[in-house]
Amino acid sequence: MSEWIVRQKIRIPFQYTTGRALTRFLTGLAECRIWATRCAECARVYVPPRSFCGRCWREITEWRELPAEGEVMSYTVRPADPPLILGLIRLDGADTALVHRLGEVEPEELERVVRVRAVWREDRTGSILDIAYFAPVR
Amino acid sequence: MRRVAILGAAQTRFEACKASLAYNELVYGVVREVLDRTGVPMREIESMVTASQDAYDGKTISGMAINEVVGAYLKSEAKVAADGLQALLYGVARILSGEFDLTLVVAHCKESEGDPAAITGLMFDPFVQRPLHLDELTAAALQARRYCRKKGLAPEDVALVSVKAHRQALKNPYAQRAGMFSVSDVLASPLLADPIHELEAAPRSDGACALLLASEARARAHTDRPVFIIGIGNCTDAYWTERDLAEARALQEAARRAYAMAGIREPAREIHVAEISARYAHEELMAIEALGLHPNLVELIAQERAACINPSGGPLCGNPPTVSGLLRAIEAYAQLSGEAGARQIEGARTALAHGAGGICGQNQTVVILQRE
Ligand SMILES: [Zn+2]
Repeated sequence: MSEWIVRQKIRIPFQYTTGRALTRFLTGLAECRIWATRCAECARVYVPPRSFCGRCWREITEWRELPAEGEVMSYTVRPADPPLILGLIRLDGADTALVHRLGEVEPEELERVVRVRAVWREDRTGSILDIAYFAPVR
Repeated sequence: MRRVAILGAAQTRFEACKASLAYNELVYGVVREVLDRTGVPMREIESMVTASQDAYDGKTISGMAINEVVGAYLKSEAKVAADGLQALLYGVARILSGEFDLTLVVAHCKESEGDPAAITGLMFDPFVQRPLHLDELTAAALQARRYCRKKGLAPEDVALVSVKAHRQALKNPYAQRAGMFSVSDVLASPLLADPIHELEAAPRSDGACALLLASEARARAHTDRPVFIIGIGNCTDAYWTERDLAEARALQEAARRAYAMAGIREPAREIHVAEISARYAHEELMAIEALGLHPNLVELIAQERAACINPSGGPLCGNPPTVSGLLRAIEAYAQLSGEAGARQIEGARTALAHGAGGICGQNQTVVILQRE
């Protein structure tokens, strides 16, 4: 049996177009504001915002601002140094979840964490990482 | 109404790294075996559907890289970049159309070649999720915790799925990972992404499988006891962060459609054996519930009848994405045709195969098979 391997790396520079809804969301983050959209038919509030409601198959045009605070629906800890903690966060007033890092908390305290609040970066650029992490509301 | 039967199937042994065989060689091996077993010459097969993923193969239009080994030269071929059970669905549709009497369905994946975290990371939204370096495992961990919280399941309950899978895999000569593990062995295996332990996640795996579909007339000329596909359902849910991850609505709906087509009213009684595409232990519990296979999942896993769920060991014992779903149908077929060897469930007449794709099972497929 012969074993021979050719090693390569696939690199594709990419520039993704954000589109109407995410442009407002991402530029809003630079101003420490969280923008959501609301479907006029099912009243579902999407954050990150969607331009279309898949459930109702219709365009969404209504905007609303949400507080940068909400509830942890789930979390996971990935082994690293320090451990990487990721949470599934439902902001108050939203029907969808935002994934983000959880900070100012030790892995063993996570079971008791219910509510979290966004901690903003100083140097914001219009990116999801303008939120440094979500911290427990104590 | 035309009916579709399975004439024969084959799978590779699954291994962490099949370093001596390129993927087209793996595919040729299983196609060759299906033809040898069924005695059907390649020139009689008019149509083929393959399942593969460009990102795992490291090249686009990956179906074209195997066209010569699936015998597609100057024939009708189509590829699905999705779970292999969807390739089966399209293969069945091709025969039902009346256009073809034989269709070869093939799936392959060599997870060893690319970086699974980088590849599965490409599934995620590039604007708000990829900057956080998400991958399939992380999303599965978020789902596992959400599901266990909602259902009040303890880590030991989920670990039992792994115990059962690896025990059953001891009887499966194609399995990559098998053993008599205890619940504490599972919970002592390294945490990959809390709460998912190494023994609760499908290991990185290489392999391929193939299956030959036939029209009823063609199948009757071939065997006295054909295995028919009597129901298929497929359903897609919302993006993973836009639905409750503790629910498996798409799977419930896919099952409802498949059961309605197959005339199944009480799945817990009428399905004798089920092969479930659970790449993570908690997914098997979610699927058993959504498929209505048992009212109390933990009780089911703990008792003897659990042997009827993934008698092969399932994906936890090693088989790569894309291959997983088609392999479930192949294992179900092995059970119904009495070719399952040491893992045979006696008297099985109706079987279920489940396939899933996308983040946290966004797309779900259910296939019901029956021996005449
Ligand atoms: Zn709506």
